[in-house]
Amino acid sequence: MRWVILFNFTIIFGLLLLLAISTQWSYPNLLPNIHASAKGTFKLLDRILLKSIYQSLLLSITLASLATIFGFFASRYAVRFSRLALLPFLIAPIILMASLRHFFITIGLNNTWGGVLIGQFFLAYPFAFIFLHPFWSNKWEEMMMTSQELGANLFHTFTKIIGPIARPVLTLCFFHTFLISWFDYGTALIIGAGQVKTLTVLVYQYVQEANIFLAARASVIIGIPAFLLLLINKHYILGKIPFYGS
Amino acid sequence: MVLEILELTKKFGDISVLNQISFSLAKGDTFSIVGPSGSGKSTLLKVISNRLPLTSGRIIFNQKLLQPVPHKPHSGIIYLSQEPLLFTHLSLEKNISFGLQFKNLSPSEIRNRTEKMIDLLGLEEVMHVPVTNLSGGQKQRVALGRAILIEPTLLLLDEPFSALDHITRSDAQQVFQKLSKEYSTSSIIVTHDTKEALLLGNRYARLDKGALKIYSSNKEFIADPSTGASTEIKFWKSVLNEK
Repeated sequence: MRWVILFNFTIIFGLLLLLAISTQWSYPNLLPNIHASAKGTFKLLDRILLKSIYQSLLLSITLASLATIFGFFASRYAVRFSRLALLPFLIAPIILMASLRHFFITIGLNNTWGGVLIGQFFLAYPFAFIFLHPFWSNKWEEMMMTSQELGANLFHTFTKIIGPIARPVLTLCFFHTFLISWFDYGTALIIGAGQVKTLTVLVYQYVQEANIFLAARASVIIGIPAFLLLLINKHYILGKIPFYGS
Repeated sequence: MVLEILELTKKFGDISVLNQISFSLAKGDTFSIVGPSGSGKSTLLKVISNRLPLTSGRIIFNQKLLQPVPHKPHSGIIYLSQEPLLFTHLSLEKNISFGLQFKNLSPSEIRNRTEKMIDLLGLEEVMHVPVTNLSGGQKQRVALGRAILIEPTLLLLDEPFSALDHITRSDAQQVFQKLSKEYSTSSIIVTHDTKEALLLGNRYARLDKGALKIYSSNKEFIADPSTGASTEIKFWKSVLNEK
């Protein structure tokens, strides 16, 4: 069974990788023409694709940083609003964004990078809030009190105690919120309205244009962070989370 | 007086856990409070350390009336619980010296004081062991040393040795006595163990159903059947006579 699954994955991802480094596939060749050199492969990343990678990276990193920081402190100091965090999960993201679009147009944020960032924040921030909420168990409260009793002020307590111990949890939250933004299609499409070309929007555009090579290239690039983050999660983070939720 | 508690009352809803409690503590005193489970011992220490808000009454610490601010501990008071709370990302040495870095001391002074404390605690052999790998007794010693090293005005010990086996417990009690003498620390220790209360304290009280009974001497404490001390002495005498 394992081999069957592995075989299928190899066929699907192998073909995608093959298409990503190819420029044409003409009949009756069994395989597409592959760009052999590294320099040639880099040339395959055209200006639009490079711009889209940069835009998506910037958007995802900014969003993940904001959502993690706000989520961390809000889950500690604004718990009375915790139920509000569930609100975006009651409605499908695409419907939520369609409902909010009117407000984005009114305040002039439609078709802008900032608008997409705020739109995605509506989805990533509740996730960060819910994800980080169990972190603030009684043990953490006690740890904060102990640190302050020993003479640390609140700033030192966060920088010397809470921050270092919370780093694995915060990193994990950062990764997840990064991926929420990285894989988001609905917000970028509705709020960005075609002007903000994230990688997911670009893939869809390439598919519509029947440009299978560019679509494959963009798809492989989309998959890289998820694969890397999965590896980092597994090897460096999950085992280091201290008494999370206890 | 280091501490004066005046008519302190703590209620959870309608249930009164501490009822009009008053006592005072002089510098260098170790005040042992015994009482059964649920008598309000831990609640008393948590109220003094500002982990719980008081319902009514006054706490005067170092001649100043304490004005509790939620989640903000009172300066000069350290609370130690049964479960030692160590900073797991720091080494044993850094844990012990943690409070000293906020005292405007030179690095060499911090190092000297920390080394002296490690020596007093008898932890030289495990100095390089991660704190998560220390035994319960060793962890409790680190927590105790870390607290006493910054020379707090008042130390609150909430059954600190009750989770330890009797040998480790005895060691930890000796370490506490040694440190208490060396640093002239004022402490309140709550315990359900009368032997521990008599061994560590120089003043004694019993808390039951929210009411505090203070004894003028250890003889009076032992003579009161409700403390259980006399029963224990009788038990050991009978055991020895049988042998």
